Amino acid sequence: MTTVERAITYAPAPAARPRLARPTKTAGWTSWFTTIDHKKIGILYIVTALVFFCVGGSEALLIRVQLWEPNGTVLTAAMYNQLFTMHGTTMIFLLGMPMAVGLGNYLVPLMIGARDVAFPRINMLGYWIFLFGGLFIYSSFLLGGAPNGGWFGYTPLTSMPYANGYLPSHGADFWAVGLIMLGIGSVTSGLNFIVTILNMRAPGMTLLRMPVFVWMILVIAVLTVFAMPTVTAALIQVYMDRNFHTNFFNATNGGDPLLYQNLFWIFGHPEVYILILPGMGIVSEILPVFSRKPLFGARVVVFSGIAIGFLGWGVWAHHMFVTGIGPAATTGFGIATMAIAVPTGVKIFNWLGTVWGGAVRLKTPMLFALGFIAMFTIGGLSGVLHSIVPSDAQQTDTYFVVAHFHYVLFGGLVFAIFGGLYYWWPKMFGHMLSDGIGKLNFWSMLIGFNLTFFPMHIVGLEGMPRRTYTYGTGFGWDIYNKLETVGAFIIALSVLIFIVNVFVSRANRQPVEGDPWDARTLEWSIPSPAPAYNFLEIPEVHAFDDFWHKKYTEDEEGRLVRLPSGGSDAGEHDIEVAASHIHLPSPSYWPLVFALGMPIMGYGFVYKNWWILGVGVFVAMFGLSAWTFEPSTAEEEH
Amino acid sequence: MATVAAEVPPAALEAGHGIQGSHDHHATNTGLSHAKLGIWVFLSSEALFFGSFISTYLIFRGRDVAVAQATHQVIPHPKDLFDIPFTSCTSFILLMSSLTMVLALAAIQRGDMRRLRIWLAATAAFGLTFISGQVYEFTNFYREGLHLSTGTFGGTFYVMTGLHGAHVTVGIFWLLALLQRSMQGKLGPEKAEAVEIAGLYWHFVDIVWIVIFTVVYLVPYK
Amino acid sequence: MRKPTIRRGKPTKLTAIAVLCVLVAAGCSSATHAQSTLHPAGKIARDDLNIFTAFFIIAAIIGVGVILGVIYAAVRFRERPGNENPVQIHGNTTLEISWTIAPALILMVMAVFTVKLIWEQAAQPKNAMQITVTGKQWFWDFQYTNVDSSHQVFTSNELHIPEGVPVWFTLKSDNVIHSFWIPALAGKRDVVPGHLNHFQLIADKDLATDGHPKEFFGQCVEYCGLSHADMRNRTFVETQSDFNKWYQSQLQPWTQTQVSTFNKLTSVYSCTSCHYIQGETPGNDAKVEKGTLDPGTAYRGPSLTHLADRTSFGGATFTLNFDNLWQWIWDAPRHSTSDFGKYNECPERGKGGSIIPTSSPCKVGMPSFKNDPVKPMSKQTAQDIARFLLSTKNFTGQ
Repeated sequence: MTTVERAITYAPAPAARPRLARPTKTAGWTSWFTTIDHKKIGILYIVTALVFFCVGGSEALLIRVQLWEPNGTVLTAAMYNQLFTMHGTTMIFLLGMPMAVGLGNYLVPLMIGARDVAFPRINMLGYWIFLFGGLFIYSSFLLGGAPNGGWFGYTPLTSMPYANGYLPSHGADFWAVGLIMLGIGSVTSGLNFIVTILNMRAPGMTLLRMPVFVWMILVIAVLTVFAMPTVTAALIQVYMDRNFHTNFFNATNGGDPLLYQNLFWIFGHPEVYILILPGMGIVSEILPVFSRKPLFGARVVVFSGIAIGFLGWGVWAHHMFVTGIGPAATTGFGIATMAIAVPTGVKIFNWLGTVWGGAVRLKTPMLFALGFIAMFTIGGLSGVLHSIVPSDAQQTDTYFVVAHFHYVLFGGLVFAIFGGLYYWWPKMFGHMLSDGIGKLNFWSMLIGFNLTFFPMHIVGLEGMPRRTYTYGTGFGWDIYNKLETVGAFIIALSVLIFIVNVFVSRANRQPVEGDPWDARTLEWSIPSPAPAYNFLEIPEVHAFDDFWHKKYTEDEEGRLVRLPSGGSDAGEHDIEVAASHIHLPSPSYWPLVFALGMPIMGYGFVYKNWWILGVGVFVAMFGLSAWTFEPSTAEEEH
Repeated sequence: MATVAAEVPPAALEAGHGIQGSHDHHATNTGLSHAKLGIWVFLSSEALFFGSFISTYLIFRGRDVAVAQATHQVIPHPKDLFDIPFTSCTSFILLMSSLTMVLALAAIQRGDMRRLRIWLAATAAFGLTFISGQVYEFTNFYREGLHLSTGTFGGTFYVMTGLHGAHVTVGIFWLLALLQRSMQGKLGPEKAEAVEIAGLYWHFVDIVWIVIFTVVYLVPYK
Repeated sequence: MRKPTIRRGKPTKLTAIAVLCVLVAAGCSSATHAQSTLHPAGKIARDDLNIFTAFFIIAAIIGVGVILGVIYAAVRFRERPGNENPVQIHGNTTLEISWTIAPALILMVMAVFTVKLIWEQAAQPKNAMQITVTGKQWFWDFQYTNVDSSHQVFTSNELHIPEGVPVWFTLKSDNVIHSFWIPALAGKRDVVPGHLNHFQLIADKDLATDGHPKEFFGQCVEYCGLSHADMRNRTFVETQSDFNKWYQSQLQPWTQTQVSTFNKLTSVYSCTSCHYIQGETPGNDAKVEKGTLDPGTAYRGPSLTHLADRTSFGGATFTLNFDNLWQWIWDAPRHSTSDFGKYNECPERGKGGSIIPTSSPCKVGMPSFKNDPVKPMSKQTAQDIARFLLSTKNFTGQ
């Protein structure tokens, strides 16, 4: 019963069945549509997330242009409300989460010494649901108006029926249905990560020998699997209220708008950690490599990450301090929120301890990682200030909060993402990104970022509320808003520099070996870019940072001593022969077909058109049944 | 509801297709197969999904009456609406289906393919009976004036039990698919885990119903 | 103030910081601070600011320390020839324990002060003036419920309170969630349908002198739809005698002549189906007095009774004057804060923007009477109505 092969494996499709030949191509542009290789899927996630990042960023620029001066007239209120809603929705669901999933997809199997993920086709399904879900929500711009109830979609603003409600257009329907879809995608990828990490570690890769990044992915996978269902339930309720006149959130008929807030934030706060923990993982990988020192207190960093994930469930109501939940509840949630600061602080100190006394190489990834520590510290500290419930009543829903979470999510997550991209780029594409342009990218981002978001602390304290399409003059906000707009464009410039870097570095590509950074974890022990089968031989792991310990040892004073390199380099021919014996699962159409059914169903739900819904169900079911008839690998050609 | 249906089967269907599982034949770190670990994770996620709806129901339970009095509406009272003996019967049938599911698994583990088919069919049939009962009940309630828009009771009741019904329906399709494989001779004893995983899902859906039945029907309304 | 841009102490950066500081100062000096949490004018807001400032300073010290630490480590431990192979330190239990306990201790101190203040502010003050606030889309209604139990003032958008007197607010909404906030006086509190929320404030003594009230601004801080940004409020903190004068003046209903003039001007537009006017329907006034009719819920628009006694209208967004008012009456959806009088062709411009096409019945916001499907309003009529409304002044306090 213990081995896997006794699990369901359906027989190959009978010869008469296939109308469509099984895809077998693993190269060329068409292969991207059928790939179930975790590395390619990872790259798809990353590229798609970066595209959505640019879209969400452009929305932010429009917002900043509108707020350049008091009583701005660039945007109408209706347009502004759509833009800030979509900016938040995009950055959280279409950048933050998929970027973590993308990096995790690429790296987790490599870091734990596996050849693939546990469920390659479910993995593929997750990506296509994410892409279609994102496009589905964005299609609303062309269909009468984008979501306009905020990324948090508070009821009853979002839950009253379109026809006699408060928000024009089907935007909120697109939002609710689209997020349910994206939620299904994230649950599948979370599930995949959990099973992969728990089940597929190389021999000797005990849980405590796993890289911190893998740990953080495991924690966010657990958070995703448990947090998504509550928001899915809340969104179904919103959808039902809007379209079938149920009264979940309609106070007149006994419903309760605060129920939504509870359900939403029970998801929403873990969601915040889903966004930031991968960033912490990335930084925990970069700092030791570029300091040539092990991660200070690696276990403590892991356990504090787990503690943050765990405590993250007990603080949701700190988003609701001013909703009138009463002094007892605010006391409890305030203290719980303060408690989260402890493991967070511990992480920051450990990172600092890692750099301290090392041999610091200020390459671009390291700059971003150091920038992360500095910016995240500011965001973390302003977050702690929010747990002072009475003064939070002054700051919540003002620009102070906007500053706070951008320091965490931009200064934290986005800096970590860029650091991670610079760091793992050679592993993914076989060549470095230019370090010179990278530094320009970093400094412009750091300056632009602080210019944009630091003044928001001040305007927030000066009383400027969030989510306002305009503001009056004479409150002392004007100059800060101007600075913020200038900063936003510097950030945009910085992102542009990154894009330029990608193309310039590609044009001047200089192939790199497997381990260009002299790094510590298993993904660097294989060639760059990683071959399809990952590891010729599944490695045996003996320690945390195993790869490093194969290269270095310590003398009596603890100084680093390079070991003579072990000359087990096989010839190219031998590798080919060995690799040809590795069976990889074959590509497939069906997860894509299944995923394609989802947005069709989505349109059916939004427009309450049961024919469209039926078509969507049919497409999905067709894909699913074809999928179940398909073996994991194509039949051998004889 | 179709979106929920979409969540279910792949976790199990992909079992054993991991490269290491199907080719290198070495055991997983946890000793559980990918599929089994996957279905447990999936079910824990589902538990929170139903948990959210059950909590919602509990929060609103009985609130309607007061609201209806305040707003001078006439809405059906749960007490008058429920036919407890009838629902108890269908609930009992659903519980029985868990027993037949266990018997089906025992049969395939013994290699008794004939009994496997009988018990799979019986489980699906019990499930179908339960769903028919639910359809009958919904029709009746609707006729007696309980609509989706009736207070909070209508929405919470229909949405929660409806989503549960959708899960049972997905389970029935799953069982029928297994039955069909078995008929084609493609479900040998070596694939007992396929039945086990479908069974885990089925038992989960049953347990959820026990909670819903208790919360909605059994605990007395004021 | 933490300056995150300092990562390396280069002169250029220092200049940039200096410039920023000047800008900060510039921003501060030109502002009125009428909507600032940094210039409290009441006990609650001051307590909030004090506890915030105390821990902000601690946070700033930690933040600057960490950032300087990062910069120092990055510079000091830069890889140089000879130090490529540093001593490998894997961790240090004493350090771990100390940097777990130290923040925990600080947070415990913070928790003690926080909890104390939470409970202090939650208690209903004794002898408080009670005001019920109704959040509407997109303006505020205020009802003074215990100043004079038999004569309750009901007004919109502009709040008058006496200085040094505790005020206990009851917040309610019959539409979406709003959040009521007067930054200089107290923290915000959400206005949630189906819930009655409360909060207190007390304006400092000696803020005002007779005839010279102190004005504060506030605005809705929970996103509430299209014109959320234009849902503002003004608060006048007055001496007790000024407040009493104001209160008495607001109790006066419209005279019969005023009512009939208004009805004649607006007959086809049925203004009073959305706007409460004291004196217009005596039966309703009696119900309001008895508390059986809540004008905050029963009427979709703000009270017009003493519009002329206010300084602003349209969610306290527009200055009350003849030009603004008639244009608003004529074609409200086309106005935004920015270009009053300049017509913009977008019907969803902002304040007053009906989210439903203007031809259908108005659900939210003022419809465009200029485009009234039954009888388009003439410019002249709009001006007449505006002129009349401005003539109904009772209060001469300011």
